[in-house]
Amino acid sequence: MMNFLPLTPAMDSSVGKTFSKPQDEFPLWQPGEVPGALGTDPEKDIPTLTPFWPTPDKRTGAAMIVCPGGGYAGLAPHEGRDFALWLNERGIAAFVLKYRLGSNNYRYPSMLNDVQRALRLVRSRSAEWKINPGKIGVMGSSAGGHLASMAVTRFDAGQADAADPVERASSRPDLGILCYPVITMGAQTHVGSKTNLMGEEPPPDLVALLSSELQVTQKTPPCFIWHTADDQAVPVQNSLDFAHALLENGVAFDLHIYQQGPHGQGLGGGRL
Amino acid sequence: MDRVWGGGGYEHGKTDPKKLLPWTRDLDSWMNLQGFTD
Repeated sequence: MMNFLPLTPAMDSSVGKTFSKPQDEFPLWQPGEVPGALGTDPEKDIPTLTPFWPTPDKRTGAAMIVCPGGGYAGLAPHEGRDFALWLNERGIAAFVLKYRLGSNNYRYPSMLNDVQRALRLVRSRSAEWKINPGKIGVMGSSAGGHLASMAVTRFDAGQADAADPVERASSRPDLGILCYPVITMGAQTHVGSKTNLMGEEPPPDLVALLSSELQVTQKTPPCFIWHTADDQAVPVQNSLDFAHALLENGVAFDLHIYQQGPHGQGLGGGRL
Repeated sequence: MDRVWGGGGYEHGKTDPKKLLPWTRDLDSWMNLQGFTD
């Protein structure tokens, strides 16, 4: 059974004292408070974060919300846990987001609510968890990249008078990392992701709202984007259009297009 | 290109860093440039 934020005292040798931080998967909301929940199935209806902590000697204070891909129908482990462990080696605390999926009958805005809540939650606990509240990024792959692209373009400062302290925190990421992302809901979209996100035949205004290349502003945080030119699942045009929007709005970005490689590669690599 | 890690398995000391895809090096440098990993 998951508890809301079970805290385990952990020795932090870099500061010579203990502090409490979650070691296991924890839900984003208190039981019964998940907005738009269709049930109480832990796998389908309860969005969670799974934390991965860097060792104290490597810790930078930065943190990343990691959104695995899977066409809004699943969550790919190699774009979640594996990314988190790689980030840990760079001193970044990683939180793998289990967001609600179209395959479980959830539609927008449930997914966006989940990633925004994750950003607020980590920021609201930053002092306790030794995280710099100004260094909380979001990283996503494929459909998870679409979710991350919504997070970097659709955010707010929080509600100062909210009863829930988590809701008082900003949902703005400080940095975005988009790996072979779905960006548009237009002609170049990934059809399966679009259908799982919005259902069949969504209205044009919703298509425009969820096409992240149309939502970039000067307040969008810096972004790193990569894609392969011959991606057969999600056209590279998605990344090109998002980068163009960043350029038009004066947002710092890195765009890396590699000539070859299939969709969904993750970190690549192999065993020693 | 290989996609060896589909399904998971990244472990420090057991994964060959030379076989990581090039974007990981590019991202490492960029995060440093942004001051994110200072």
